[in-house]
This record gives sequence, C-alpha cells and structure tokens, in this order.
Amino acid sequence: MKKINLACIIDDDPIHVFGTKKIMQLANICQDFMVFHNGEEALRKLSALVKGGENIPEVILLDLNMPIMDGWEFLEAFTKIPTQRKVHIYIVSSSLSVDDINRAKNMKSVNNYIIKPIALEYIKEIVNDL
Amino acid sequence: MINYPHIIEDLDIALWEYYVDTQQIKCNEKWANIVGYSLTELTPITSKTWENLFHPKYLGKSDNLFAALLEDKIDHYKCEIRLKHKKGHSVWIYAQGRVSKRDDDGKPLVVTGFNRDITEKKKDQRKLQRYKDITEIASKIAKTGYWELNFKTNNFFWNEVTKKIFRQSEDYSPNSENFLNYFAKGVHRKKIEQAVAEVFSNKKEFDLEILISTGEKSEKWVRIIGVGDFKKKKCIRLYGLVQDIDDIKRIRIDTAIKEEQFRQTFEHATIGMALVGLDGSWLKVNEGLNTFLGYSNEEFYKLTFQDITHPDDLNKDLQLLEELVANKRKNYQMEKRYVKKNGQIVWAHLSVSLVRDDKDNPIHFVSQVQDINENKKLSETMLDQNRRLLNFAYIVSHNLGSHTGNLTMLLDLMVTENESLKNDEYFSHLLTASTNLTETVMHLNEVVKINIQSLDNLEPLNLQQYILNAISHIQASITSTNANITNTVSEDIYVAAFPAYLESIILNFLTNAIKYRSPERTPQIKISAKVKNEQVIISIEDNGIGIDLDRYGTKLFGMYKTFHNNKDSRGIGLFITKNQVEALGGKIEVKSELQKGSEFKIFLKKSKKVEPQTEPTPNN
Repeated sequence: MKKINLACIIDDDPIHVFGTKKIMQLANICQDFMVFHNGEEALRKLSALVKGGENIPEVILLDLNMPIMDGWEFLEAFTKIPTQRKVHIYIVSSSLSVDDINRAKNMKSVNNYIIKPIALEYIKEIVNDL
Repeated sequence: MINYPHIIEDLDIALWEYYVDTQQIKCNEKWANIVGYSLTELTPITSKTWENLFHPKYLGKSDNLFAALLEDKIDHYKCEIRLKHKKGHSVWIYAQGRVSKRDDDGKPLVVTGFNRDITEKKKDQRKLQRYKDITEIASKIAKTGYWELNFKTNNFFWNEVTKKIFRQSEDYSPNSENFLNYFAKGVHRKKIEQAVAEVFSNKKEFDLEILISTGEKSEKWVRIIGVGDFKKKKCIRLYGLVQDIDDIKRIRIDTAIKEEQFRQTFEHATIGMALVGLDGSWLKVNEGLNTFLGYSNEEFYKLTFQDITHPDDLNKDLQLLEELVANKRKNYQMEKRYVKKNGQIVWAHLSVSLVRDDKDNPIHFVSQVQDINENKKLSETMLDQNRRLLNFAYIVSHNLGSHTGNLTMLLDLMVTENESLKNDEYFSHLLTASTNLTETVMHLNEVVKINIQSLDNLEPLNLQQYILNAISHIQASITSTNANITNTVSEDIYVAAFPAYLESIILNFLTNAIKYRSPERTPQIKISAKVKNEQVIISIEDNGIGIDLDRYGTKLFGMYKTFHNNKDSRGIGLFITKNQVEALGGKIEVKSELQKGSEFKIFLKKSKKVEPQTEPTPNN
C-alpha cells in the first residue's frame, strides 16, 4: 500500500485533527503531519516552505469554516503559488450546502469534497488517488 | 271656329276635328307643336298619323274610348295619353272630344275636341308619388309614425307606422275620446295631459319622451311631438309624430343605472379609485385615494401619476400601460410604491383598465389602488424571519454535524484501538446514543436541504420508470412478505421533480405500505396515477393495518410521530416525504381506516417539458 509522506491538516477543530491523525497512524498510512488552525497560518508557513525549496505536503485536508482566513480564501491564495510538484487538496467539511459542494467541484485545484466525519475508507481513497 | 281663327291660334290649346267617314283629321298648329312638329310637317293628317305618335301602351285605351263614343255609349271621349315627342321624349296630353255633327239618322259625322299638354302636371304627380313612397319608407325606417287629432270632426288618424308602434293591426281605428288612455298610467298620463293643455293655452308645441301603454302589461318608450293648428285662437287640430325609442331609452336607462352604480362605488369605495388621463394626469379621484396618499383633489389634479410613483416602479408601470393602450392586454395588476404627500413611501396593489370609445380609441384609464403597505411589511418580515430561521437551521445542522461527526469518529477510533470496549455496557450505550444523534442530525439536514432547493430546475421524470425502480429496490421485502403489487401507471406520465426526491417519495410510501401490513392478510398494494389540471395524482393504496386518522390525522406528517407499535417505525419518513412533496409544489392526501388499509394520494406537478406522445386514434 502507498503511503503519504507528509500530510497537512488545516482545521480549527482539535478533535477532528486528533481523529484524522489517529486514523492515519492506525492504518499506518502516514507518519508526518503538519497542522494549522486557520488558513492564514497555513498559507504563511506553506509559502515559506515553497520559497525555501523545502519539502511540502503531498496532501492537504482543508476545512472550510475557520477563523481569520477560511478555506476558500486559503485556496485562492495558495493556488497562486507555483509549486514544484502537485499538492492534492481535499476539502473536509461538515457543510452539506449544495453551493459549497458545487463550488469545490468546479475548482481544478480541489481533488474532492469529503463530508465530515472523516473515516478510514476516505483516507484509503485519497492514498489510491496519489 | 272658322270665324275666329286668330283666337283659336292664340289659344294655348290644341284643337282637332275628326271626320268619321274619311278618317281625316284637321287640327291647329298647337296640336302639332305639343309633339314638337309644325302642322305642315305632319300634313296630311289621318288617323294613321295619330297612331304613329301614340305610345303603344295607350293606343288601345284611346281606341276603345273612341269606338264607344262613336257608338254613343259614352257622351265624351276623355283620355290621358302618352305621346312620342319629335325629339324622342314622352309628352303627356289630356284629350277630350265629343260628336259635333251627325247625319239625319243621328250617326256621328264629326268629332271635335282639344288636347292639353299635361306633361308638367304628370311629372309633378309622379314626383309626389315618389315623395309619398319615400316618406312612408322613411317613416318605417325611422320607426316614426304620423298622427292627427281633429277636434272638429273628432277624427283621430294614425298612419301605418303609428299603429305599429302602438302594437295595433293595420285596420285599427284609434279612439279619439279617451286618447289619454294610450299613455301609461300615472306620471306619464299626467305628463301628456299637461303637455296637451299647454298647447291649447300657450300654442306651445310639445316634444316628450314618454311611456305609452300598448296593451295590458305592455309598455313602450316613445318620443312624441305635437303641434297645434289654430283658427281664431282655437285649437282645431293637434298633429305630430311619434317615434319608437324603446330600445334606445331602455339602454339609456340601463346605462344610467350602471353609471350610478359606478359613481356610488367610486365615491364610497374604501380602496382608492381614480380616472386617469392618457397622459397620466388625475382626472377624478375618490376619497379613498385622498386618504391613502394624503393629497387633496386639487393637489391631485395638478399632478400626474408619474409624479408620485416611486422611480424604481415607474418603468414597469409605464410599460404595462403602453401594452394596455396597444390592446395587448385588457387590464393589468402590479404591486408598486407611491410617494405620499408627506414623503413617506407606501406599497399599493394597482389594478388598471382602459376605457375606449365606440371607435376603440382610448379615452382614459380606470385605476384601483389598494393599500397593501401593512401586508407588504408583514410579508417582508415573514420572508426575513424565514430566511433567519433557515439560516439558523442551517447553522444548527452544520455545527451539530461537526460535533456528532467527531463523536462518531472518536468512538470508532476507541474501538479500533481497544476491541474489548465493545463489551463495556456504558460504551455500547454511548455508541447507540451517538448513532441516534447522527441520524437525527442527518434528518435535520435533509429537511434543511429540502427547504433550500430552488424549484427552477425541476426535471421531467417518467413516473413509471421511477415506480419500477422503487419496486425492484424493495424486491427482497416484497418477496419475503408475499406482497402483491398492482401497478397500473401509464407509461406516458411525466412529473416535474428532482430525481432524488421522486425516488425517495415513492420508495417511502411503498416501504410504509409493506411495513404496516396486516399480519392477517397478504399485502395488496395498488399503484395508479392520473393527470388532472396539470397535476399528476399518484395513488398508493394498501390493505394494511391503517391509521386512526381521528386520533393522529393532524400529527400524521409531523416530525417523530409514530402511530404504530411497529419496531421499525421512526416517524421521520413521512415528515421528510411531506417536505419533499411540498418542495416540489405538491401535496399529500390520505384516507385510512383501521384494520382496512390506507390510501395516500400524492399530487405532483405534471411536467410541461415532455408532452405525452399521443397516438392517432384509428377511425372506426
């Protein structure tokens, strides 16, 4: 089974972050994580990594509703930064809004939309798509 | 005659002598002149000359008379004869003659006579006849009759048309004694009596519109004109015209009543009403409008409706008005804002129609202005509340969703890390509680989702196809319960719906029909559908345990209501189904009897996009 070298979780909900990490660790899919609690923090750190030519995450699990900078704003800013290799971005949200889902599906940079709670089978799909 | 030739020549009379034995005719110059000849031109004159001048139609008549004279059957020969003038036109003469000389036996020898040119008189006569004819026709067409009351002879004359107006036969002779009785009793009779009295005393004419009596219980409106004829200050004759104006008068009376009704409505209506000119100026406004908008009549008459219409609503109003004038519509309604005198902006429901003259030219508009300011405020408040409620539900479902999601996830992880927890009683209850909570939130989400769907993109869906899909979906439970499903839905019915909703609605009713089957009977489920007034009515009938509608009717479609002690019943199904049906613009009706069964009728919109294929019906 493939593995994720480095996954990035951008979510303000510590329980969700805990759970996601736990699932990935238990399934032995990924060992290294980056966690940010809002879009602004994530954007700042990630763009620094890109600039410095350092290792950037293969997968980003992005929440939509967050303080300071929400998921949409992060997407807009982050996708403008040229990266050396493709970053797989998944939106993980509890929003069932058709508007949100369609908006995400219409964005090239977004791989898929996952409705919370996240479960092992979703993670497996993500790995398969890598 | 021979002794007075110059007298004879000077006389403007044509003279002639006819000699019976030789058939010679002697005549004077005038005789020849009548037919445009000179005497020499015609000489010698015989009876043949005479005959040639005659219009053939009159020859026989004259001949017969002449023969009768010669046989002494008549004393005088008198005849009006039509002759041919030299120039071709006809001339009329009056000829008269008698035997002037006889032989010893008394046999006629000479007939002497004269001719008189009566062409002019004849022309006048014919003209007169024509005038008479025309007058009679005109009288008939104008429904105007002539009447004359002669006080000397006591003769009361009615012409044909007058008799007709009074609904009498042609041979009727009116009664002069009680001529007042020909008028309707009461005011009308008094009116004519007074009018006649005035003619007698003041020599005035009368011209009245009056109700006449034309028999028992039969009355008619006429216009009657009367003129007096006076001799030595005494009225000897009263004559005039009578005209049938029943139709016109009755229409006029009707119109007057309608006008009065309109006036009453206009003045006393609580809603605002106005007559508005084609240029938008206020022609007449009622009190209701004064009160509503705060302008007095005088202030209104200096303004146009454009002046006091909210600028954002003006274009729409003007466009509708234009369509009205162009005859593209008969009237229009709109909700619009007016600017009151005090500057306040108010909402009104405006209804406008256009009055046209008999040549279809627009005259003015009639506007009804209803104050809907309170309603509008109320409905805006409601819309706002609705939006906030929806937003609230959305936030609740979303936030609850993340929490329940986390709960589920954490419990899952705990079990994964520690299998033995499954045997822990606390933990297993916690798991159940979490599952129930997740389900509740899911249902709440469903409802929220239904309410935020827009009806714009309903799709035409083939009902039959969806029913067949639903049946195959629950085939397992159909087989296990031995349920018998009769599906008589026609293949060409299309409903306007969202696929997911239609699927869920049909599935829900079918599942319920099986779920609430009677343990005593084999389940019989009948599915049928019909199209009525742009609606598709789907009926799903079962022979199950039924619902006590008296007890639960009002709660049937409420959230979390169950009416059975069935272990699967959750109560959410019907609630969501009802929400889905209503979101599609439809409704559900239910009939049920305990221990007999239930029938659910689902009303959905018929799809306009796909018309059922109609096959040509064979001609038998």
